[in-house]
Amino acid sequence: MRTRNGLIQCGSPTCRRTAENQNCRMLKRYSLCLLVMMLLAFPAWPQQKPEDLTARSIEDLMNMTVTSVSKTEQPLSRTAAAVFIISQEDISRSGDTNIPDLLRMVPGMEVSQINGNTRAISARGFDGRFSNELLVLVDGRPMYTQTFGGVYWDVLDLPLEDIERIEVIRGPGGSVWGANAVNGVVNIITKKASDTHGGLVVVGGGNVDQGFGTVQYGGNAGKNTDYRVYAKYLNQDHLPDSAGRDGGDGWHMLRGGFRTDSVLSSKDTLMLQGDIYTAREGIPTIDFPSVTATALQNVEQLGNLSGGFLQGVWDHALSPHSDTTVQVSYDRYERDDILREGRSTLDLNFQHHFSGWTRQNIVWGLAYRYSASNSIGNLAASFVPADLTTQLFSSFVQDEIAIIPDRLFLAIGTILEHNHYTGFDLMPNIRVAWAPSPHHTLWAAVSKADRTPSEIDTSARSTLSGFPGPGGIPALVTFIGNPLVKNEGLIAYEMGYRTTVRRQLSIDFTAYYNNYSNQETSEPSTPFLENTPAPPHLIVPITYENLMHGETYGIEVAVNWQATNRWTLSPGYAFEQIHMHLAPPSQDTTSVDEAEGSSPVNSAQLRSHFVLWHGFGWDTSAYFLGALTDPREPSYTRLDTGLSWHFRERASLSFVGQNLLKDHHEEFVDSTESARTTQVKRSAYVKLSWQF
Amino acid sequence: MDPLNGTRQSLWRLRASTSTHGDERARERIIAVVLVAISMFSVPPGARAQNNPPSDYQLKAAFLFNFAKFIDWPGSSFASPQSPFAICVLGQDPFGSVLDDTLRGKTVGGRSIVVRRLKNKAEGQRCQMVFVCSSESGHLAEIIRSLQVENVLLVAESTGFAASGGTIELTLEDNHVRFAINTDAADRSGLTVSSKLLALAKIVHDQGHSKGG
Repeated sequence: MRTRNGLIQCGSPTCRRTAENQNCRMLKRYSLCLLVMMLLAFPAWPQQKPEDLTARSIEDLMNMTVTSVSKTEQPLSRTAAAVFIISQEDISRSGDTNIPDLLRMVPGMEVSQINGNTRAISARGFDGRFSNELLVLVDGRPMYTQTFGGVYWDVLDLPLEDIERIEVIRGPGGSVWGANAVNGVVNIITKKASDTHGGLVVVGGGNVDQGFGTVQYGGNAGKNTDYRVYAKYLNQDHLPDSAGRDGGDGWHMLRGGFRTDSVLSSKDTLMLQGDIYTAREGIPTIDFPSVTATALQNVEQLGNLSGGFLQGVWDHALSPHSDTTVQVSYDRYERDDILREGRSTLDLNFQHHFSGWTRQNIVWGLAYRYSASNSIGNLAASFVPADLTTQLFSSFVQDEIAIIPDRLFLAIGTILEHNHYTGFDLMPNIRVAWAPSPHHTLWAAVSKADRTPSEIDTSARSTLSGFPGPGGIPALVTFIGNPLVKNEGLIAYEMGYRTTVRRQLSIDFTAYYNNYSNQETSEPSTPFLENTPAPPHLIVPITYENLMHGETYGIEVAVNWQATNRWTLSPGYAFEQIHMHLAPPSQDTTSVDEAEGSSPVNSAQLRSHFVLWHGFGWDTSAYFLGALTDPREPSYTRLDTGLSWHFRERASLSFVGQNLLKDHHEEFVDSTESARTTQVKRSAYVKLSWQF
Repeated sequence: MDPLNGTRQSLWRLRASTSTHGDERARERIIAVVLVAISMFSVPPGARAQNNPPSDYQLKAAFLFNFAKFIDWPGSSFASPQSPFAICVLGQDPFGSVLDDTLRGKTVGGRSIVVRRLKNKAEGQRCQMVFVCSSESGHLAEIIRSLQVENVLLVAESTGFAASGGTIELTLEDNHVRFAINTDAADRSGLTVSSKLLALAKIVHDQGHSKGG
C-alpha cells in the first residue's frame, strides 16, 4: 500500500515492529544448506512453556529485553511482495556510513562502488552507473532524476540516525509507484521529529572516511509542534586507481536540514522538511577534446554540487476509516560535472485511503510532476536540447480485499500515467496473499511495469571516438539519443513464502520470472555532415532502438535467526539468470552481453550481531558478490566488523573495519566510461556518538 | 497519520543495564562459545536450552498486571465487593491471546481479573483499566476527556499520551518496556499510585514538564 509511511500499512506500532522484525531481522544470502539444516533441526527442539511474567518484579520486567515479534502479524502476512526491511537497529549495527552500503544487506540488491563518489546499484539485474529501474523515495519523495531515470547516490544522504527504517521491495512496484519502479522500490522513512528530541553529536574519522560528523537538536516548538534541525559533514579521501595512483575521487559534503511535525487538530497533521547541501567532488571522467581528436581522454575534474528540497505533507482524517494525504515537494540541484547540469522538480500528490466498506481497503491518488532541466555539456557529452521541461500526470487505484479475514487477501490495482515522451501508459497488477496461520504466508503476484524514457535516452549526445573520414574530413562516432524511443516493458511473475518458525527464526523466500520486452539496443544510423563545432565533420551516429527482449529468473532467501538471547545471525542468498535476445534488424553487438554480464549469478550475505557484556556489542558482516562478465570483474567478498561500546547510557564509541579481506579491490566498471573506476580500500574508522 | 508512535528509540541509547544473574551469564557465555565453535551449518539442540526473551506484548501484559497491583482504586469504582477487576482493550487488540493467558486465574485486591474487548469508548466506563491501542491514537483527546473522570486508569502506547493528559504511557525503548505516569491525570481519576511504581516511572505533568526517569 502506498503511503508516506511506507509500503506496509500498519494500524498500530505493533504491526510496524512486527514487520521490521520479520523482515529486517532476516539475513541475506548465505546458503540453502543452512536453511535446510535449520528446518530439519526444528521439529526436534522441545516446546517451552512461556514463563509466568506476573511473578516477576517490575524491576525485573524493566530489565528484560523483548523480541519485537508479537501476535499481530497481519500486515506483513498480507503483503504480497518481496519486502525486506532495514531497521534502525540494522543500520546502527552495520557500521555503514552511507545509504548505498546499507542496501548490501538486502538479498537481490546489487550494490557496487565504481569510485569513491559513484555507485552502480540495482535490484534483480541490469546494474550500471545509470541503472534506471529502481525507484528510491525518502518520506515519499522520489529521489529519481529525469536526467537518466536513476539516483545520484552521492548526494542522497541524511543523518543515518534519523532513519526509522528502509523498506526495500524487489520486483515491480509500477502499478502503485509509477514508471521506473520496474525492478524495485527503496523507501527510506525518517523518524518523526517527536522521536528525536534532544541533542545528538556524532564525530568520527578514519583512513578513507577521513572525517564525518552530525550535529542535531530536536524539541518542541509550541504545544503541538516538534522539530529537529541538523547539520552533517563528510570528507572522503581519494581512492587508488587500478595502477595504484591517486584516483582523484575524493570529496566532501556539508548538509543541513530540518523536519517539523505538527498536530493541527485532532484530524490534521502537517509534516514539513527540507535540506540544503553543498559538495565538492573529484570526478575522474573522460573528455573528447576536439573534433579532430581520435579518442576519448581521461581527465580529472573537480566539480561543485549543490541542491536542496522542501516538502510538506498534510494528513487529514475524514473519519476513522478514511483519510487523505496531500504532499508537495520542490527539489533543485546543480551538478558541475561533465554535463554541468541543473534541474528543478515540483511534485504534487493527492491520495485518499478508505476502508469503510467491509473487507475492502482502497487507496487512490493523483500525481503531477513538473521538471525543468538545464545543461551545458561539451563535445564528449551533452543534451540536445540543452534545456527541457517535462510534465508527468498519473493516477492510481489499488484495492485490497480480505476474501477471508486474516487469511486470504487479494490486491488489485493499476496506475495510468501520461509522460512527455511516450504518452499514456497503463500498469496493472494483481497480488494474492494467503496466511493459513499467523506464522506462514504464501503470496503470488503478476504485474506489468514499464520504464519510460528519460533525457539520456532521448536527448543525449556523446562522442565515442574519431577517425579521418572520406576526403580527410574528421568523422566522429557519436551516440545520439532517440526522441522516439519506446517504453521498456516488463511482465513479472513472482511468488514468495514467509514463515516465522517460532520467534527466533524467520525465513523469507522469493522466486521470480521476469519477461522483458522492448529493451533498448544501440543501433547504427545514417551518417550526416555537421558544421559546428568547426571544422565541418561527419557524424557517424549510433542511436537507441527497442530491439531486445529477454527473460530473467531467480530466487532470493533471507533468514533471521536469533541463536541465543545475545546472538543473532542473518544469512541471505540470491541467484539470478539473465537471458537476452535481439530482434532480427538489430546490429547491436554489446547490449546482450552487458545485460547478461553486469549482474552476478550468485550473491550471498551473512551478518552476525553479538550483544556482549558491559555495554559492548560486536557485529560482523560478510558480503559475497559473484563474478561479472561484462564489464569483466572477478568475484569478491567484503568483510566488515565493528565493536561498539555504550560506555554511558547515551554515549557510545565504535571501532569499525571495512573491506578487511583485501588491501584493495575493484568492484565495478562503468561501461559508459563516464566515471572511471577506482579501488575500494581496506579501511577503518572510529566513531563517537553522544546524545543529550 | 503516522501509526508508529515513536516507541523505537535512537540506537545509541544504552542497550539497557543487562542485569542477568551470574549463572545465567556464565551459561550464556558457554553457549555462545559452543555456538561459535561449531559449524554454522548445524544447529545444536543445546542452543534452545535457554530462556527465550518474551515478546513485547507478553511483557506489557505483565506490566498491566503490576499497574493493577500497585495502584489503588476507590471502592466506589466497583459495582459490588464481588465485582471483578476489569482490564479492557479499546481499539485494534495487539495482544492476541497473550493478555488473557497472562492474567488467567490472577487476582488483585481479592478480585478476579477479567479481560474485555470494548466496542466503543463509552463501554470503558465499566472498566478499572483501559488499554488504548495505537489504532485509537487519532482520538486520544476524546478518549481522555470521556473516560478519565470515571476512576478509569488509561494506559496507551502512544508517545506523548501522558504529556497530553493520559495517565500511563507504556512504551518500548530499545527493546525494553518503559512507562511514564502523569500524576496530575492520576489525581483527576481519583487513583492512588504507590510510591514503588512512581519510583520506577518517568513522571510527567500535564504541561509536558518531566522530571525523573
